[in-house]
Amino acid sequence: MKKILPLLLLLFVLTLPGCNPLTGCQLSGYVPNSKYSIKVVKDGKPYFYIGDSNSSGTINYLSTVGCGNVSQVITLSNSNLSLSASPSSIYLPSPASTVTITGDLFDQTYGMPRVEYFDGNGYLVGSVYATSVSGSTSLTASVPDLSSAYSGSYQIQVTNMTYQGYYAHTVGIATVSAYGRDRYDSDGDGWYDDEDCAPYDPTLNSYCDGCPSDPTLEICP
Amino acid sequence: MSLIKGLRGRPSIAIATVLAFLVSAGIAAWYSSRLPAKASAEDKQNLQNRLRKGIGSEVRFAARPEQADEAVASAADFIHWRSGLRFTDNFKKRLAKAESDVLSGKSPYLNVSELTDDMTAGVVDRLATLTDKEIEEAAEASADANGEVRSRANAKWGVMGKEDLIEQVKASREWSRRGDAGLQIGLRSMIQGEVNDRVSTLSALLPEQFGNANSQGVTPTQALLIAYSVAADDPLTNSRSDIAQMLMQKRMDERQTREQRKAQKNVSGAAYGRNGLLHPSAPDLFFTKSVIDKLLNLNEGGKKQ
Repeated sequence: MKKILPLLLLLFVLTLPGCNPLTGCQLSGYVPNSKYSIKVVKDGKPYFYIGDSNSSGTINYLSTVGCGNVSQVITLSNSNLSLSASPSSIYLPSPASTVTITGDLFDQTYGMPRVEYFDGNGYLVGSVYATSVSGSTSLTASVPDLSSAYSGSYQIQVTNMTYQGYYAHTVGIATVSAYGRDRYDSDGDGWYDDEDCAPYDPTLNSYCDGCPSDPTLEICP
Repeated sequence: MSLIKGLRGRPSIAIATVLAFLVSAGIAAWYSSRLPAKASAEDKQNLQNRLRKGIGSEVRFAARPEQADEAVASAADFIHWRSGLRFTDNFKKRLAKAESDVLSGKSPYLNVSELTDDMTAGVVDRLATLTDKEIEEAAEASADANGEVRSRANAKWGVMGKEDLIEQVKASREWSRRGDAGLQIGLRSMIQGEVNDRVSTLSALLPEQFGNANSQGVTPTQALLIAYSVAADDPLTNSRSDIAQMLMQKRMDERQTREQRKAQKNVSGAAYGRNGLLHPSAPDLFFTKSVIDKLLNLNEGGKKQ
């Protein structure tokens, strides 16, 4: 009986809900060597999975809700172009109202390109949409609210909307520098106020963790 | 039939054990059927390079007893930077003493099989003492932005929602409290697979540091790094600058703002560990003093009886 216990357990657990094993799925007939987002709608709830197509144009992806119910296959692409922004530096107390970005592949066919500002650690600072696109090599956009931004390097990422209605084509990134508002550390604990959950309490650092008082814990989160 | 009825109360760790074999075997077969043989050698070389840039260069393993302090300090810094887990000074001192004792021959190296046994016993013991609050916080810390928990970084044992995880861990806790042998057997199998995977990878790709792991055993610091790797599912690869770049790209992909980041309490913002950006988990739950002492034989100075 002991020998069949694992088998019986296996049969039993396969009927249980809860842990959803992954299923390897395939979709054929797509552009070879590309990246896709597969949208599956099950019980009215959308699920998104990422998959790559192989050299034959077959997308392999892992699903937690089985291989059926695919409602849309969204092509993801990143042209990874190096773009230029003008002005290339921003005086934060009085920033320019618009910025012009030059490069290539800007496309307003399905919607104005999205223009996003990320700080030096990759945090999103602001997001706007282009107000005009000239040819495919230049666009103009308002500068987002930078009243909470600090001096440093910023990346401006441009993303096109594709024919499927998603911002799924990342065109590239322009780098700009901002100045005129340095970060400060009010409590002097070594963490800047904008990354310190308690900027006026030097006993609490960036994520307010603090080792628990539990003496049995020798390694703390 | 009575056996089936008896099994109905069995919690999910064992379920995951069985699924682990099924799902990982299925996925492995699925992938392997699609990957050319050439990819394997390239992947191995790539993994070796990434390991060398990670644990291989950032942890300064000790060859002599007098290097134990530095080895422990670098291992602690390595783990802290990647996961936010911090070692107390007391723990580092005891670990360095144990490391020194092993290197000087006063204590034997830790056998990988015994390490697996001790990790299993530690997890079983810890499960029994988990509070509801700890379980709920761990589920929260282990969930991704979609509220889903991946059993491993590659989800080889499946994906579940936070509520499912909480329910199943509570069930496992009851099982552990009852002292059911099935839990121990199931967990050991899972942990053995994970430990062996680390040891075989590290010994093959970083032979200068882990080449004798299978034959001779590992030092307490090496054992801790393996245990951490298993608990956090951190592959120990990549340099800090590589990981910083990955984290930055991840934040950009998720379009996370600093306000959202600050709103997360008790979150390190690291790659691994609680709410880790590359793979979230709650390894700190496992590293209690009693578990650590047992795992690394700190009370015995590294001596295995």
